[in-house]
Amino acid sequence: MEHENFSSLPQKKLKKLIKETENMLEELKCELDKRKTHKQHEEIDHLEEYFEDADHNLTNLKKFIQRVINEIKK
Amino acid sequence: MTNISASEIKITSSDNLAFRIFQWLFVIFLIYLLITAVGMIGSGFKGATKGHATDLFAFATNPFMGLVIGVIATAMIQSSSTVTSIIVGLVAGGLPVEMAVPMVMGANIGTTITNTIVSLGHINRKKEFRRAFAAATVHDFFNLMAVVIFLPIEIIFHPLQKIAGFLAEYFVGGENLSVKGLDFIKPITHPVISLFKDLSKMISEQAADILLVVFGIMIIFLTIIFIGKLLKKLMVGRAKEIMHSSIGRGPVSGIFSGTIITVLVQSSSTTTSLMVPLAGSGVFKLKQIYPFTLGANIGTTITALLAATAISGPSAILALQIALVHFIYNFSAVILIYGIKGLRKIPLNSALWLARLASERKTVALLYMLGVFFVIPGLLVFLYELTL
Repeated sequence: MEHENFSSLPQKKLKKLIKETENMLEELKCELDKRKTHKQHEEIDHLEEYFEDADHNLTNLKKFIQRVINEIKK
Repeated sequence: MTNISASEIKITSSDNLAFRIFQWLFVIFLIYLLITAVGMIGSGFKGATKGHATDLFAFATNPFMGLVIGVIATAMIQSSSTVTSIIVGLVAGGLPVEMAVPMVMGANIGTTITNTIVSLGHINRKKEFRRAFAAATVHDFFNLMAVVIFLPIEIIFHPLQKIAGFLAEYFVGGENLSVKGLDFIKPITHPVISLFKDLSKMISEQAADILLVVFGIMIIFLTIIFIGKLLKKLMVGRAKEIMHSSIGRGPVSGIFSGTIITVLVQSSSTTTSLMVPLAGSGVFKLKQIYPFTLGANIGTTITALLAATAISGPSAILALQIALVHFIYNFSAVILIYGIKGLRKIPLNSALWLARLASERKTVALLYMLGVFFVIPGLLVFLYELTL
């Protein structure tokens, strides 16, 4: 359906549409990158918690071994 | 009311400043203790072996055995800084550099167990665990690959030992840049070393030297734990700033940031463990985490270099040589493996593959950890012995 619409469009209009779509795509990519970067900065703000988490090695290991034992039992 | 609050704030902030200054002074004191402890190990080991350190470590003439010692010792105490500092002390006390090189390489592998254990904390969420486990094991695969490439070359041609020896001689024994004239370490460490020597003699005259080594190891172990804990608190703000500024700047900036953060917190395990939750949340891609972990490998070499300053006299060159081996090895591995696109992808793809398997079956993760850190090193020794 859309294809038919495009085929009826004049070349000039088609070129204009392509340019607009390309610009829109660029803006969308920029917005996506901006959001990703923002999220990364937010994540780094939790660094204190991650420093704390790094100290809980043995608890992690205990939980993990329990999980493996359960998996083997199944 | 507002004035009271403001003055309260002032008092609190000045208290904070005083506390921070106290913490920094304590860090300096701990570094002093670390350096002194390395000197204790050097002195005690020299006395205990009476120039026969090679005989005592005869079992480690097999480089794979040296590698296994490094892997297992570091995996057990979860601190490559402690192990490399002890190695520096042992080299100063007579352990041949040639035997110590595989141990340093092993320490590099052993230290990767810490962030792998940290990644196990994400076990309850499958996708998160997959990402976290991949972020942890990319460091393992990189360090394993570095050993596979560099150890055979080192066994045959000794390039790391030779380059480090040349540089150590230049820095310590050279005419222009001699540290001999600036030896301020010995006068400040000597009183404490003597104190522990006397204490060891009081406990047992015969085993005094061995006791001195044991005291040195214990002090290194404890000081590195406390330095790590203090620096984590003192440096978390700076680490944040560095990481914020490295976002979106590419891999070289990532390597550099990883190096600086590790130097600041004096622990590669801390830096690499920090990357695990960042990757686990899915906000950071494995490709972005990878360079940080490599920077941690370079940054951690500062501890052995610091430890080497403890040694003066003829052993100083050897102590600095093994510390430089650690630095040159890690730096070259990053340049070689990360620099070549084909090689760079191997640890990445291996980590992704293993993480996929481990997220499906947790037993795979357990087998992997036991295999890499304990079983495979043992098998390597066995195979090497068979070929002799």
